[in-house]
Amino acid sequence: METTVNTELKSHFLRLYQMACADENFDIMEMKLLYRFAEERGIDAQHLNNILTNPVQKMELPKSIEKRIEYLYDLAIMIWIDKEVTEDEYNLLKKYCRTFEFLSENVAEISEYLIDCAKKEKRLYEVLQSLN
Amino acid sequence: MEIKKLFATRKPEQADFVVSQDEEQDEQKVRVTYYQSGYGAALKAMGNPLNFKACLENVYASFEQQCRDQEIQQQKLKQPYIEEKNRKQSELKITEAAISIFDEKRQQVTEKMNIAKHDLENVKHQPEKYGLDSTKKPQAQFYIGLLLLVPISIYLFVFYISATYSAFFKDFSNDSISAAIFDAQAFNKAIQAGWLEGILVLTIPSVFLGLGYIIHMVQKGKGIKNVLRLIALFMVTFLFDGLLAYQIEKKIYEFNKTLDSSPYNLKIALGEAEFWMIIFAGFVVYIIWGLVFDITMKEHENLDKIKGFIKTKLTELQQLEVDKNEMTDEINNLRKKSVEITGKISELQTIIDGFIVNLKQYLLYHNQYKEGWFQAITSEIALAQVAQKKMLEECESVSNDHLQRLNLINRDFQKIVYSNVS
Repeated sequence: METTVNTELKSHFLRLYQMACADENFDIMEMKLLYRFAEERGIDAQHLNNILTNPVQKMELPKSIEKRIEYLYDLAIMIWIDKEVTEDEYNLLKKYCRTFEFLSENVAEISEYLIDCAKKEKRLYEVLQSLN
Repeated sequence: MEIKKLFATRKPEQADFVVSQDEEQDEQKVRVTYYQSGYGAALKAMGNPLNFKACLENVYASFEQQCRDQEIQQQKLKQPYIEEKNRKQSELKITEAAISIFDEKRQQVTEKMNIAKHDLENVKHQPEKYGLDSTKKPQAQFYIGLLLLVPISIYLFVFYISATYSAFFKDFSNDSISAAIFDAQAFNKAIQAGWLEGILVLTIPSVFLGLGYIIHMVQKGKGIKNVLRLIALFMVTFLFDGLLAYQIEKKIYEFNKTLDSSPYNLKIALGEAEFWMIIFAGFVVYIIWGLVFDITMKEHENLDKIKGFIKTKLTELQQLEVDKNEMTDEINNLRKKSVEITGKISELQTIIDGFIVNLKQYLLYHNQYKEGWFQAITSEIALAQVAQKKMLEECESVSNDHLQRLNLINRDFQKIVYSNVS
């Protein structure tokens, strides 16, 4: 059965897709990761394809801070999956930090922190825990 | 820096909250003002229902004006329309993008169609351009080949009927020696001698034509085996032809021989002109027949190739036509949709340019004003109970009339939209 996916989650997958393409090389690892993220959220491959080919008209932001960090962390993992952080990817992550309404003076630090966590292969709950 | 602080977010919502609190306080004040103004006006007019009517109209007019002037308030009321407009605008953009994509695709299909049409016209002139291993104008060559093949075939039939008859059955006598090689009456004589003989001489030429056909088929194949087979076939045919010539020559020789003539043998046969004439008129013509047949068949194949190519192209063209029509339909639908959206956007824009009256709010003020008015009548104006009651009833009906006129009784919508600044 097809699960209904809200615009917020759809937007997230579109951002992930954008991030995967940001380094001009849509790696097989990145593709796999994209489908893994989808699977973890109960979205099958077909449904994910639908999301990517029929994009939402207006992207939506997650409401809670935790969700925002979760999504940004996914993006950071997507960046580090090919063990390389390109400038485009880094800038894109910063852009999303700003979009997610984090203070612009903290954006660079947030991006670095999240990429650092991704490098250390931290779990999401560990990242969230460190906030408390 | 502490990580928690790192993830601090901008909070534009707070400002909004403050504004709305302020607004609420203002609104409270306004409501009280309406009550007071109703109260005061009633006192001045001594609660007269006629005055009440005028006052209510005045209240509505000033509320309307107020709505028009309150920019922030208007902004808030218009927000859903603005959002709807934005949504429609992005929908319009998507539709336009889809139109341009389909348009591009349609152009590609049209180009493909043009190429296919060009190919169809060109394939007969330049078949090699389309990977067709064909000669120019295969049709003409095919018909020329056919034109030659038919008389040569008839000739071969006639010749072999005569030659076979001469070799197998003919008795040479004085009068027929001149027709030793070709006997015009061969077929008739064979029929007269018996129908089996007739059939034999009639069908023998088919054997030679059959051999020609086999040679054509064998030629198509490649490899040493086929070459050997071909040589063997030629040799067999040549031998058969040679035997016929030898036999006919023998009969002529026997007829002409004198007592001192040596017995007939191959050497003698080879020395005679008739022998070679039979060989040339039969075997060589038969080879020519084979070659012409070969060319004709080849050109026929080429014709088939070109025909096949044309057929494929025509099917392709049809499919492209269907695709193109589908795309045109799609584009038309999208254009229609785009026009609809544009219409909706301009409709929304007029609403945004105009102003909106919040009727719910007006009703609240109206009721406040009415309450003030009624309160003044009951508490401040000295009247007999009955007169007071009558006045209140009259005022009530004036109020109802007023609302009725504005179409505000029992309504299920909360806003009235004035599309243009009037």
